[in-house]
Amino acid sequence: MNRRFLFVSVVALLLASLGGLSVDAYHLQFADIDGRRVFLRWMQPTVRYSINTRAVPGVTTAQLQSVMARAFERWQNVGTAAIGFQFSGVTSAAPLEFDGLNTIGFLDEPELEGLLGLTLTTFDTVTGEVVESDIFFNSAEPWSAAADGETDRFDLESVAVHEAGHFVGLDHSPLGFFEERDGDVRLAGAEAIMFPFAFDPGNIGLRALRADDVAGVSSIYPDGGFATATGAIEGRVTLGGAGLYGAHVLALNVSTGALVGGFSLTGNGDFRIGGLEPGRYVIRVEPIDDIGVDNFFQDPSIPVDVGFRPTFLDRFVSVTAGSTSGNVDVQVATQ
Amino acid sequence: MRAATRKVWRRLVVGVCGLLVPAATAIAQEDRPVVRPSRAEIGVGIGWVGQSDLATRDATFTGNSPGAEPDPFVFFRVNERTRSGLVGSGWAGVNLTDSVGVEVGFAYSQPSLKTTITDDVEDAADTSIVTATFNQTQVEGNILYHFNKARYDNDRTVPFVFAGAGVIKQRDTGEGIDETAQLYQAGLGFKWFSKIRQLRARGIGLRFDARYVLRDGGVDFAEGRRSFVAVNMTTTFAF
Repeated sequence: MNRRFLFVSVVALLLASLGGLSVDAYHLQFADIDGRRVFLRWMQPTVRYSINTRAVPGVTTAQLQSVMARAFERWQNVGTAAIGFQFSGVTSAAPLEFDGLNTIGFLDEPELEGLLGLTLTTFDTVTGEVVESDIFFNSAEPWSAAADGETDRFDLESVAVHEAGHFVGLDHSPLGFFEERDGDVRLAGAEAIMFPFAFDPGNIGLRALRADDVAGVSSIYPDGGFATATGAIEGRVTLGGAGLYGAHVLALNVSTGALVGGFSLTGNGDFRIGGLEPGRYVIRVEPIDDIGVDNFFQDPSIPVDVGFRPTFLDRFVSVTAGSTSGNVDVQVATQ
Repeated sequence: MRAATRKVWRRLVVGVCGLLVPAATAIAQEDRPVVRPSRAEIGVGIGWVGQSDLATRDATFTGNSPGAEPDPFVFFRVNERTRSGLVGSGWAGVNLTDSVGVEVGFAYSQPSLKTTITDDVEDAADTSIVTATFNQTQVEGNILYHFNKARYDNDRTVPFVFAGAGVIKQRDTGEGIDETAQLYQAGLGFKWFSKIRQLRARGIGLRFDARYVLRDGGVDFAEGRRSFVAVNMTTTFAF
């Protein structure tokens, strides 16, 4: 049985160096190994985790423990997903060490400026089963565990919920947008916990899971009613008849406003977005050309297509519970 | 000549304004025997339903701003309206008194939705979506008041006002539409009958009405009431 490390999570704040960008979708952690695509997931229903004893300015060990409990609770409380978490105690073991413990704690990594947190997952390359996952928060950055946040300090709970999403098997979602204003480029907004960039220090608006996050965790750990209560959209993204890889496909439920997305993940341009509530959907396709392809596809050998224009499908797609709406073909044009 | 001229003038005044100022015309005709509505009426016909704006549905992100509920960031906008169109209708009513009647009505139409997607932050081209028509059935109940003293055209035409409520069912499985709405409406109109017999309207006739409708629920992006206008013309038969 071969095992290898997979680095999956980076939450950074290198906002000034980015151009305008966007968008949307849940994204599962996977690896292509020997021609097989392996999706990562825990096999046991309840995952135990430990909290490292180290405290940092603004956050005590007890506060870190409390914040992580709330972060995991958000994922555990998803009604259409079956995954649980249990605190197993504090430990002196450091995160990011392969020791059989799922350890969460602070590490001082000043050389990783702008990196707020990271989740390191070890998995079985044959089955995709996660065997260990550690989360570290960079103590070189200013943190706050205050309920209402603190000016000039990053909200630990927001980042903790994001890292917990990697912990359960989700990759980054591009559901966010940077805008240029008065010569500065800043994150204007996001609609997925799994967006790879954090809100400004002091802002606490992105602690709760969004529809994209809920659909993602539910697709990994579907509860009994998930398959019958939700539907899916399948189709292709093509340019001049050729399939595109890595195109973002966003589905907007026009009744609820929920945004859920997915990627085209084959050379044929095939995509699938699951976990959709029944209703009418507007479909939008776009390239991930602004935010950095490596935030979503860590394997540089993956040929992600980005040279096309954002495009709306000129019809609604109707989703009904328990079924898949197929043949949703979106033709895009070059930029 | 002068009297005849006055009579024609009076008819025109009643015809144009009778729906709005029946009391004035009633005073002018109070010395005449009052013709009453028939005991029962039925009718079938066609109508026109005006377009109705629906709520705007923005695709929004949580704004990167202070506070637990920051202002949203609009990614793109979706606007939708039902388009105007024809409606087929039918009704049956009884007149409980000389002036007051009740009726039940049924209408069927196939309106379509026009959706426009605009203001994309990445300049995706604006897109219009016109859905296939969906089936809309409507059942309503109304109470009417006839202004018998404002009859004109040799008493064969009577103005009336009405108000009522009903239910609209909108359905199209292909578009994922399956909605139920309540409607509340008020309007005015007139009925014309070919005969007057024993001081009651009889025989074949025409009915025209215009109505203002409030729809609560149904195909929409948001909760709330939407309004539209409709006009109907039906052929009727009075018993």
